[in-house]
Amino acid sequence: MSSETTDRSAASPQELASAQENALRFSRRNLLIAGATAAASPAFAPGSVTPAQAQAPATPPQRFQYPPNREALSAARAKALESLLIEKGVITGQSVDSVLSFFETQMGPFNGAKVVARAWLDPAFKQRLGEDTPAAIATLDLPKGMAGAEGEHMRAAVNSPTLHNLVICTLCSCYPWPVLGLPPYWYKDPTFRSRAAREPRVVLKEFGLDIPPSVEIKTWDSSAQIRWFVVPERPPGTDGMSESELAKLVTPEGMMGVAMV
Amino acid sequence: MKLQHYLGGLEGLGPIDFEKRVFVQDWEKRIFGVHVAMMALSTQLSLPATPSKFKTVWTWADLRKGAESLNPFDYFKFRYYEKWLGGISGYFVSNGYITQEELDARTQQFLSATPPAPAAGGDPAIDQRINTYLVEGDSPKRSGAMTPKFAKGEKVYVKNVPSVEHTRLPGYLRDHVGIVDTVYPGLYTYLTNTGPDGVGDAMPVYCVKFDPQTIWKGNTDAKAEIYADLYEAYLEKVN
Repeated sequence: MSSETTDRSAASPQELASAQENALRFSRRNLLIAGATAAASPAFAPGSVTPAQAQAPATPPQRFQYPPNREALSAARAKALESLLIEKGVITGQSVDSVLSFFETQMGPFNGAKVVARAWLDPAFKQRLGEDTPAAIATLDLPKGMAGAEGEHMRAAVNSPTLHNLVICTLCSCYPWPVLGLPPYWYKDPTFRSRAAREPRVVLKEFGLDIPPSVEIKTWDSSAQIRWFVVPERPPGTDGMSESELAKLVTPEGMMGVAMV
Repeated sequence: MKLQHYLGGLEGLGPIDFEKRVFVQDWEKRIFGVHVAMMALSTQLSLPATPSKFKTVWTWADLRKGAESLNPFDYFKFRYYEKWLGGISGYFVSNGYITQEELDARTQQFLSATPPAPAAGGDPAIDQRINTYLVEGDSPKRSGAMTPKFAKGEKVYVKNVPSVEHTRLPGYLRDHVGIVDTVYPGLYTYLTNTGPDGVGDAMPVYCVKFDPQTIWKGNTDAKAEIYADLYEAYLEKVN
């Protein structure tokens, strides 16, 4: 079966028009590889759904159908792309693994946790962190790259008993890599990005975080080149803990403002 | 109006998926790594040349343009890294690094009962440059004689600039008035020139405070403020 033939015969007029618009900038054909094999299922064979049927409530529009091998197809496409790029000398056989290793050892939430733990123990550091984030971070013993990719200009928003901070990115998924590593799925979820802007307190409650009405919420939308993170409040019952013990309590969710620690 | 530019404030989307993993499928890691390698090897960076055959520009702006130019239904249909896979594959085909036929044939091989062995080899200088990019970053900050038009505490009006393929102006702020909370020192470029949208060249950037009640009247939090970092091109004086 030719996937191209299937793709075209299964596409709606809207899809085809859209595909033409985007053909150069963003290959829909590659994006729609999943959709291309939808016809493998007899229920979605080309021509089996008439326009009238497609509009009936019992038959969902084909646009939102996924093929049964959606992930296998994407996995094969990703492997195919990487292997071709290696063969053609664009990247090396180690490039992807070395990037992933960098985020396991050099850039990750383990750095942010150390920053927060120090702020909990050292009020002068905490104040400086809020006023000049890069300068404060530069005083700590952290891996190289704390002003590196996606952290060239970071700002910390410091929580207090009367203020809760929440970081979002409504346009994409901007995230402070050096201190937090890579963004979890919830942060990239269009639903979170949409709702957190308008109803942060409701959203935080869904995350299990009950912010009393008396506490102000400041939401920071990362729309330029500044990357934000939150310094959560030190949790009660942690008196006498060492810096490294405190750091173990700090989560990425706490440093984005959707959890207390 | 592009829905992707107006995500902030969109209603009726239901509960949030509190998925804490970064990658929910193993293959997503691979396309992420390819993207970082492309950004690091991109030709506009002033990093040492390598034997890599990558001879074009690839930045976040290219990835974002792809997602922002999608049909909005597809934007919601496809998972985050599915959009990356589509955009990055398309880029390599349309820039002539690979052909669609090669990619399709290789994909079929990996789907087959006897998938090929992973490719190997390459010059270590390529991976060294990727590491250097991650450590050094690509700061958009510039110095220059341009002085900021607005001061801390000043009211500013957010323009409704022409809608183009890519923007850094969240839709929900357009045509609203905010108050400058921070004037960032220095000037900031953006990764690409967005044409009539207005960003790209070095210019002041502000953190601007908005009252959500003026944006979503009667339908938002009673005790909240929303802030956004905005390029000067998006702002004008309130008379």
